[in-house]
Amino acid sequence: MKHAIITSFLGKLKDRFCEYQEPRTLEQKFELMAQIPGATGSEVVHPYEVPSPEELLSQLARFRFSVSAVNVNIKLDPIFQAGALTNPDPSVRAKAVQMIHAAKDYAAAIGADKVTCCPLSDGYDYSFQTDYGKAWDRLIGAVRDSAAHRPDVPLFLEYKPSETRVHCTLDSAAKTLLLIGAAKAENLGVTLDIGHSIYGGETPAEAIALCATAGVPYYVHINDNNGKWDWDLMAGTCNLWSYVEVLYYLKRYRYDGWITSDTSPVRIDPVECFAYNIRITQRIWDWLDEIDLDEIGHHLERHDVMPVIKMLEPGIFPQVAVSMRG
Amino acid sequence: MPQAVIMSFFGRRRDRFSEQGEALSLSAKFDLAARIPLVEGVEVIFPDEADDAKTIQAESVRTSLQIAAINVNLKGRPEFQRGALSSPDPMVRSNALALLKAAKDLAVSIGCPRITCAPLADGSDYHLQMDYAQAWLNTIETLGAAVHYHPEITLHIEHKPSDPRVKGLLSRADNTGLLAAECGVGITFNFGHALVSGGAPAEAWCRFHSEGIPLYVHLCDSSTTWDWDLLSGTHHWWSFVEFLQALRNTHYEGWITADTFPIHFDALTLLSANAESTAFWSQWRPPERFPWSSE
Repeated sequence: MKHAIITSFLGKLKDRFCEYQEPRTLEQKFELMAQIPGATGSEVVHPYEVPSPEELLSQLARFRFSVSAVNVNIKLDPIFQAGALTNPDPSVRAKAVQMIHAAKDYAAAIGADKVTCCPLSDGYDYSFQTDYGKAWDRLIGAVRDSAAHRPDVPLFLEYKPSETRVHCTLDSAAKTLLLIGAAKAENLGVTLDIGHSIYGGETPAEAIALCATAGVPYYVHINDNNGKWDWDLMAGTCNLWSYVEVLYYLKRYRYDGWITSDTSPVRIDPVECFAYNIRITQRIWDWLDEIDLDEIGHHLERHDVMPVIKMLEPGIFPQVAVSMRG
Repeated sequence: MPQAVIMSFFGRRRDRFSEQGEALSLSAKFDLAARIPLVEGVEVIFPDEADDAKTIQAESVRTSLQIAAINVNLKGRPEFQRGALSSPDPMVRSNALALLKAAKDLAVSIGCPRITCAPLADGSDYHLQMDYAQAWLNTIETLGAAVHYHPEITLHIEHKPSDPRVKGLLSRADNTGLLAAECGVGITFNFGHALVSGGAPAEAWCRFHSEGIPLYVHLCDSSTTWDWDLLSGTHHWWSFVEFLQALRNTHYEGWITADTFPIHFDALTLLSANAESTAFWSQWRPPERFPWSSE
């Protein structure tokens, strides 16, 4: 299993009220990342975080890191405040598409195999604020235009229920697959963020299954939350069973891509935070090798959950001697 | 009911991913607030926006805007990031108490009868992170001391489900109701926060009124999962008009302060719309009974 980190989480972080951690250059972030056992990949944010391709390649070589994905940020520029890929102004949409093209060029220059994009400014805050039909058509057109450039670098689309908009346009796995189908482009995929799926009311493992059965490539971001907001907490700290199920499905589908930590270490030590993410994920992953996955599949066919729970229970609490009374 | 605005919403605003608006001086914020029709007061953030009585009084006189409340920021300083009122560290709690007392001193100096505080750093992010019982007792002790200092100035505590902590210690309005019973604080009742935590805001308001708890209002709208600080009544119109009716029926004559966060909008436009909408629906009289009324 390959573990990556979105490197922007290794620098200064903020929320609406507070600031956390220290500002760091990308090279300083790599230095921090080098202290995290098991971290070998970096998702870098284009264009705000990255140096020239040559400089990045030099830094990657020095630390022996790879790039899991180039993350193109089409939400920060104030021009995108009322939307980027769905913006009614064609020149704003063109700028967003051009930024995705530039990220693809950058990815090609550094040998990265994908660009990922989470169109967070595309959405609405109020009823009667946007024309939903036109916004959807614009999104399809902009995604198609984005995909057409450098088809050798696939574009993965990340869905999210909300933030920065009250309702994001691309808010579910099913909708992302609909979008990919409507765009009629081969080189598109889904960036499946476990936390986004949870607080969007999905079952993340089911979302993975939807992508897999649709034959659409997917790439995984890990974190956790309380089901209400994208808190980017450490993996499995709120929804452990759900996370075990996610890893079971990834194993079943022979996922060999990156597992990228999209986890925000506010108020905790970033090295400890990401080390935990990688450690717990790898432990569950390795433990699942000791489980008869075919037997789990057999029980799933019968909606027979108790035998599955009994199979997994000793792994979650392995040392506890159970005292039966009564 | 007189209307006020929280002045910090006129300056630079940000969320996790973006920033909007320009940083403004206190004077410029007073100027903007004075341009909003129907708004007669402001809430000033202490100590971030202002910490001296002379400046605030001069601006208040110049713009004819009253000070509805001094809002004490107990979340911004790094030392408070893991809790202020409830912190296990007595020094941190002592610093939080000192800020509350200083805010009361300021309120006395300018003749403002209340301070308000949303202790948003008090809470937890993970299970097994905090001792809930000790945190609660610490909060009661710290707030009790603040209540007894200049008791003529009411300390209103605001509830909020989360942000920036995943789980706020005072997540529901009823938590502040318990605090009121324990140590005599008043409540800053935030309509949007009450919506996020579930239930009918008007129901909680009426109970607190019956219990004689000093109340002060923050108004906005939200989704049911997050405090978006939206334009009042735009998402939960029925709850909004029901709440305004509850204010009227309980003879509330205090401030209605807009806690509406115009991150994607021009602040003046949004807050003006909020004031007009609030005034309009405050005057609306419902029919004597609805078809679904139980009484």
